[in-house]
Amino acid sequence: MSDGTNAGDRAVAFGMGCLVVVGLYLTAPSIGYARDEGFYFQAATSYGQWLELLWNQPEQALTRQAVEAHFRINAEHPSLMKLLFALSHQVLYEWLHLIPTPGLAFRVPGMLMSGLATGLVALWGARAVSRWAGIVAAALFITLPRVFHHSHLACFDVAITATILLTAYAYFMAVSTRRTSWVIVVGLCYGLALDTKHNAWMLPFVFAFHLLLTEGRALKAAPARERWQSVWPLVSMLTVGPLVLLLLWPWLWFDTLEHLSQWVEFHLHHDYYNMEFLGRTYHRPPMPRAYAWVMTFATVPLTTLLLAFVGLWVSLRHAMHSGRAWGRMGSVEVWKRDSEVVGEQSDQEPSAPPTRQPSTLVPAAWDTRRVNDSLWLLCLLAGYAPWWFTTTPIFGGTKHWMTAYPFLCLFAARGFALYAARLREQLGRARKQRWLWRSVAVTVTLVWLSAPLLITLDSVPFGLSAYTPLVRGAKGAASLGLNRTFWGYTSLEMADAMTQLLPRGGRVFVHDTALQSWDMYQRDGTIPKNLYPTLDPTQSSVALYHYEPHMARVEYQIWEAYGTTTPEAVTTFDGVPVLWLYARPELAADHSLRGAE
Amino acid sequence: MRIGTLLLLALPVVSLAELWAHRQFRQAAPTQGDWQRLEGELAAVRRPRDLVTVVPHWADPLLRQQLGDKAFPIDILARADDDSLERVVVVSFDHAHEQRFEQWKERERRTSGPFLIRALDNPHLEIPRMRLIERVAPQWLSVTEGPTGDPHVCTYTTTARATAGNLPGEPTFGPRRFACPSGEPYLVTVTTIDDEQFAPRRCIWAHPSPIGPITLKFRDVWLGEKLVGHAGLPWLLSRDGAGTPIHLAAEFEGRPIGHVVVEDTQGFTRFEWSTTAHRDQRGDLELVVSSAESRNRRFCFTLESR
Repeated sequence: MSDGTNAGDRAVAFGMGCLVVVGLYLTAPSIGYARDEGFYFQAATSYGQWLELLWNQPEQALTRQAVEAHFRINAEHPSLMKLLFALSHQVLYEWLHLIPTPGLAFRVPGMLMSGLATGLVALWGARAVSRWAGIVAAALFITLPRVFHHSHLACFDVAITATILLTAYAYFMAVSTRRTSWVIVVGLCYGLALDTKHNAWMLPFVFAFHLLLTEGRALKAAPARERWQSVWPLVSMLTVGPLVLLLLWPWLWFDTLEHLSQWVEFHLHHDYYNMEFLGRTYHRPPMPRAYAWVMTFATVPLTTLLLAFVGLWVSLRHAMHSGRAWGRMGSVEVWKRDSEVVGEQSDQEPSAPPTRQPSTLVPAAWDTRRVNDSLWLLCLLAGYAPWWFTTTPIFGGTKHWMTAYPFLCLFAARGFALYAARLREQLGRARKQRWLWRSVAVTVTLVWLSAPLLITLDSVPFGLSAYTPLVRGAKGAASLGLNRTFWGYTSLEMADAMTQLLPRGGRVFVHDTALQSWDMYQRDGTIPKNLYPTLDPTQSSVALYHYEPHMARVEYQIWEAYGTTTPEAVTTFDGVPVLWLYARPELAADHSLRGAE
Repeated sequence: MRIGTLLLLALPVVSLAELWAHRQFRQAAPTQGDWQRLEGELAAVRRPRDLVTVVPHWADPLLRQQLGDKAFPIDILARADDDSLERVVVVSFDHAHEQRFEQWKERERRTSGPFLIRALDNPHLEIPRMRLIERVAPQWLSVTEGPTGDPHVCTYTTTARATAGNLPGEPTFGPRRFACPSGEPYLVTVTTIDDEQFAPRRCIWAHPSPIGPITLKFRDVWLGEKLVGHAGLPWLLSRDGAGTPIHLAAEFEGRPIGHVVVEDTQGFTRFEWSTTAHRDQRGDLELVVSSAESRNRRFCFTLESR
């Protein structure tokens, strides 16, 4: 099953994916457990017990009682990632002892998904533009600070980004090659996306719109067989996809319709969370329409945005030319043999066009690049689609439109290709000296990537607090009133301070850190077991406070409970307070940390 | 070369500029040493009971960590308003500006590293005669719950088990409180709630009980021209406005002197009752807090005579 790329492209994509996984694995221990990770650890543990039962007593595991007992927990999200978390934990940590801590083992599938997404961006970039541009796009993707942070987590956001990208790629291959194998693959991939997160619900609408946009006119005049060929990928998504979901999510094996409707209901009527935006905390509609766009500008490096805009402009210009050509054609000649199809039109060094089924009929104006770029654009816009409505809860922020980012970076590949082509032109005869051209290309690429790379590396382990220079970094964002942190993921930063204050142990008010996340720290050995978590500050000796405006009341609870307004320690990111630690005054008097930093 | 091409080729400069800006912004925040040196400078400016504040406001915990409780007593930090503040010391950096005290008179200005320190005087100072929040103790206050004809005494204790409800729950109820027979949260104590800006407000908690209103009888209250109060509910818990209005009615020596109605979505609201008729008199002030429903009526107020 060829996808039009060559072995070199695939090797480079695989290599980039592997490199990313290694990088994530090495940086993961410094990144604390997010609130939701705690819930998924708990769910994955339950699912893991079921997997063990399935291994040992399959008849019993398949009963309604066993399935419901193990999969009821966190049934508002599908099972794929939690099953993978469980498998990773069971196999890599419990059995093979390859991974030193249980928390890291739970996180590995998320990292693999990030590797998959990065590799796919490289591959698609290579296929559509050039290998070099694909590498740049993949590098820009993983050097998005928020993407890099979420890539470490045992959560679903990077996973759904990867599976949507995978489905889009398979869909593109299916429509451009018309091969049955790709048609089946797109259904399978969509099933994985469905079983990852509900963002996948939008995909059939996006692809249907894409079909109308690229083939709608031609479909009218198409022979019946060709018409069917055009819609087979969608049919596959809508048939094979749900079957995969059903197969992989045991919770749906019993009371299927009821459980499906509960799943849909949960997300259609999701709670409104609190989110600070430009100094105001939003918790109910109307939500600010500018939220997603402003946050994108504030968190995506300008370099990446610029390249993406250049690429988008290049694509739109191409689409307009291509569209005009199409518009001149009469409906009689709309369908032609594959051999007459307009080929790939890259700015530089395109990979080989995909091989089609012999004697396939395709629209006469078929322009692979136009079909490709329009799919990128629609997927990008679909990632942001919920934020066009003022009724959409703004949830936790940037992670919810992360599915748009691979496509943003693929447009950046187009922008980079244009840049490289122009640069090459300007080099004149000198470009014929290969070593010179390569040196220039490498240097320029490194220059392009330097800012995103450094911003991302500097964001570890405070990825959710990272902002770009466009808003003057973390300080500027704090002054503007943009969300500084959420999910209580930074508690690990206070591990030493807490140990110093409570050398013989005691109770810690953990605030926004989920108890399950705290438990994982203790299983990992990063927080001593004698630091007992509590959710009541009055019952604690030291108290964590994760800053968010609407949570200020918790800080006041601590003030009243401890009789002090003075934090004993403050964790900052680029000078901006993110997490602070209070201690009862008598404790602080014995083990003061202040001034010790 | 065409301008478009030229611009395109110049784009990597943006990346380098972004890199430079990133490094600059990272290093621009005050250092630990700056904060430590600030402490010495502030000591020369700050007087007891001055409000010390910092802009940008996000640096507030760093300043509190540096200066400690003496500079940040909870009653000043969680004050109801700025009227009775004599002076404020504003620490600013990064060209930030505190608009709240724009009309205040600057008395002193000095710098310390990246910080500008300004001492400002309140041009409209109103010193209170008496603050009821400082008199929530059995020698000055008695509390009952239930209807006037059948009141149940809320007993003062200093040994109750302190509680706090984390984000979705009640504020901290310390061990000192007037505990009513209906149990928590039907009690009278001093605590701190969040207002509509999520700012701290220290106030007297007086939750109407299921068997009727809560009545607070303050003894030996010294009146002036007016009683100035603030009242509200913890904002995060009340902002959806699901509760019935809460009434606060006041009688001085048996004569009505004021009444205020507080709705959930109002925020922490200021009110004022004229007491010129009782100026310079001392006597009993009875406050009755009631609501049609008692559920989630987390009423908290301040009252001071001026």
